[in-house]
Amino acid sequence: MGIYTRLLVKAVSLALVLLGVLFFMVVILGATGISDRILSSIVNEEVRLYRQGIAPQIRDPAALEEAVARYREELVRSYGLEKPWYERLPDMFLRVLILELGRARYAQTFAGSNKISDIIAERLPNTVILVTTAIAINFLIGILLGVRIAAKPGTRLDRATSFFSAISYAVPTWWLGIIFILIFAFYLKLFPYGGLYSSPPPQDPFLRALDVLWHATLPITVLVLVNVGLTIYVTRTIVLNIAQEDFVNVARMKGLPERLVNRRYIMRTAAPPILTNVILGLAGSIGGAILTETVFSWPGMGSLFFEAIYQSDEALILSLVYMFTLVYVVARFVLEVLYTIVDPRVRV
Amino acid sequence: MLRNENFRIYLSTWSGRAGLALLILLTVISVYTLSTLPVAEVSARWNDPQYWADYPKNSPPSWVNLFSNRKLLETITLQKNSIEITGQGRLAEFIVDYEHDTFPTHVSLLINDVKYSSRPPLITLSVVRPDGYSLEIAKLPVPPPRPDEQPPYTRFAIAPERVLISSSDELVREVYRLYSDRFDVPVTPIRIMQEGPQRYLFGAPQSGEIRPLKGVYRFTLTATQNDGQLSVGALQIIMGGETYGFMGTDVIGRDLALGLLLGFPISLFIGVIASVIVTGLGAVLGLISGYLGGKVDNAIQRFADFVNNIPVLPLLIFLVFSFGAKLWIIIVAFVAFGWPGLTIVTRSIVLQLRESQYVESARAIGASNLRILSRHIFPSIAPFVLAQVIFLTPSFILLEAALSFLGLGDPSLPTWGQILELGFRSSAVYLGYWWWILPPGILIILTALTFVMISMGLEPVINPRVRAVGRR
Repeated sequence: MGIYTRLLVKAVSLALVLLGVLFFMVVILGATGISDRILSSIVNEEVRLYRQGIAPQIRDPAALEEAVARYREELVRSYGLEKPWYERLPDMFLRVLILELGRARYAQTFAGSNKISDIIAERLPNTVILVTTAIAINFLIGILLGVRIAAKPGTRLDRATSFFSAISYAVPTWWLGIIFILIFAFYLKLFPYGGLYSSPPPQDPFLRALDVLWHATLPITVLVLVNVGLTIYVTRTIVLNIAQEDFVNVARMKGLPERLVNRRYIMRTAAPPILTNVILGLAGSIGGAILTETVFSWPGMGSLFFEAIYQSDEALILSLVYMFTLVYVVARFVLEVLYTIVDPRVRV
Repeated sequence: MLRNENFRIYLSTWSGRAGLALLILLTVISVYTLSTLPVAEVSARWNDPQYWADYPKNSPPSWVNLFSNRKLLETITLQKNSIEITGQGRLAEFIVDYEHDTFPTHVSLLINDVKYSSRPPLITLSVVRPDGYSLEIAKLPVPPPRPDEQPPYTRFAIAPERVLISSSDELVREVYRLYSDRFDVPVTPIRIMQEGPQRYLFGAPQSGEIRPLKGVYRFTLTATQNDGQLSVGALQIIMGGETYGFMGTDVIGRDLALGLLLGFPISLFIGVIASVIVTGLGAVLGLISGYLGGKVDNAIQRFADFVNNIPVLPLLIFLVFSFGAKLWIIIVAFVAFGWPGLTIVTRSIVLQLRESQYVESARAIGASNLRILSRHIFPSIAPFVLAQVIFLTPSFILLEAALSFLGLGDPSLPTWGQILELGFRSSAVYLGYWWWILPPGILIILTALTFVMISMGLEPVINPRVRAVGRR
């Protein structure tokens, strides 16, 4: 299988995952009657606007009511609300796909728009920045340390690492975030409680970037701390297993310099499984980001999730699940491309 | 023999020993909780703000007094049951020796089960202060009989009548009169109301401010009507403290110790049940998939791949949100997304076992598929499956806590995640209420860590070839 065929197959299967999730959601929304509620709230909103628009022109209240009722009926028909939910499936499916889900109940963009697509567009970059930075730092530290530790198995550092990774597995990301706020913001006053900028944000672009960095320090540290233990541990195990293989011993016995053995024989072989582990950890990082954003009121899609649940905003929750799946699928694909670069076997 | 040997290997690791000790501790606490507290009743009480009305709000545990110079007041409860009514309708007298440096957060009076036969009585509470001034601080008219009601008339029998003295008009009027007439301190009723009348009740002006007046306070309760037919079940005066109990209270005044205690069995139950079902389903599907092969195998594996590729948390949120936050729905959602990993691994083990000689020989003597699966293949994977149950348990405990924190926990049961959620929502973090934030999190970690350590201890016992690499 050529490299492009392979990537194409991956892309198609990931797209199927996205569409499958979407289909699953739409069916559940239809069966539980939630999609009816979403559509009726869109209809109510439009009817309200219509009434405001024509009220000054029609004096007679009876005629006004009649006109509004007629308009509502038209809308109900155009949204298919009079049909059973399963006949509306394709329509609802497309609606979610292009995020045409009306307005959020309370959430707004910075400029004041409450259209769901606008809100998501504003929040998406913040989430992507936070998650990618955290994942990058996590794997940088995890892989460097994991490889270093694998060189000296059984030492005190090695045992401390496995203990640390056991603990970090048991610590909820969000609770660690709360504790960090309590320590570093409440008691020590070193970092802000949360948010993206100070208020008012600094005007100078450089200072503004520093300000964002200052606000991002705690959430990123939390995300890295919780995930890095496992990354170190898994990397160590993979490298350790490969270092005991026969071909590595042969290379050493041939008298090759240790650095060359490490780079060409051990790391070259360890790279694909380590990357696989990165891919597997992705879903967890995204989940952790939802909770971390919430704790630090980082204005991304995760904290929006928290607000949407609190306000029972069905349409917003639906769009967020879809967007998170989309982000995950895209990130998976990027990693798959990386995989074809580090693993020569898939390129033949 | 073999069992003992395995157990010895398990106990040879420190994580195995620590995990086992913690598991015993958690089980003992859970059993104690379940046997001493009626869970359904206590959970209902947990969610009833009325019940907690007289508990101090946002209060640290009482033992903080051991570590600080400024002694915080503990709640004072004065109670009298089966009341005998003496001359002039006197119901009860309470004597309080008030030696505290701070004021109560509130004062309330609770009256239970009043019976009368003729005219409705009026119950009056008055207090004599250490400086000799007497104040009439509350008046409670017992409701009159309804037109068709027959004597004796019973009032406040189902729930006690609660009078919040510290915001009653009588008290404000009385302390206003006291301070302006006797102490010559210029105060207004509005200021008294804002600062809390109980400060003035238990205080006296001293170099320009109100300081606690220490000494003996004599509370007297009387009823205007005493025709020999009147009876009162119980009387209670509560002076709200600033600290409470062993674990403190939350914003509603709930005793956090109670919620934390109930969290033990609930957390263990969710983790273990979800893990057992997920592992069972995953293993059975893996067995079928690996043993039967062909189209069934293909279908199961494609589906497992699909589910395995979904970011779990957003979809869990979605499912629990759409179907409602109920315990069984949460567990079903965990199962729906949890099984694929195990199915894929079990299948690969079964594929190897299927080709082994003893399975082949069993097949050669005509054993049925069911018999081969249950007698030959399942026993070989059983230790692995058991280890997976333990390995997966902490992830479900953590997932449930995360859902609770997002506001999707089963509201009828108090869990550690929900305690933290309310703490976060009501800004306990930003106010530094550590007693509310630290213990539930530490308990979640401890419970999860118990199972992590047990599975670390099991690693050398289970065949290292099938050792699973953990991921969240």
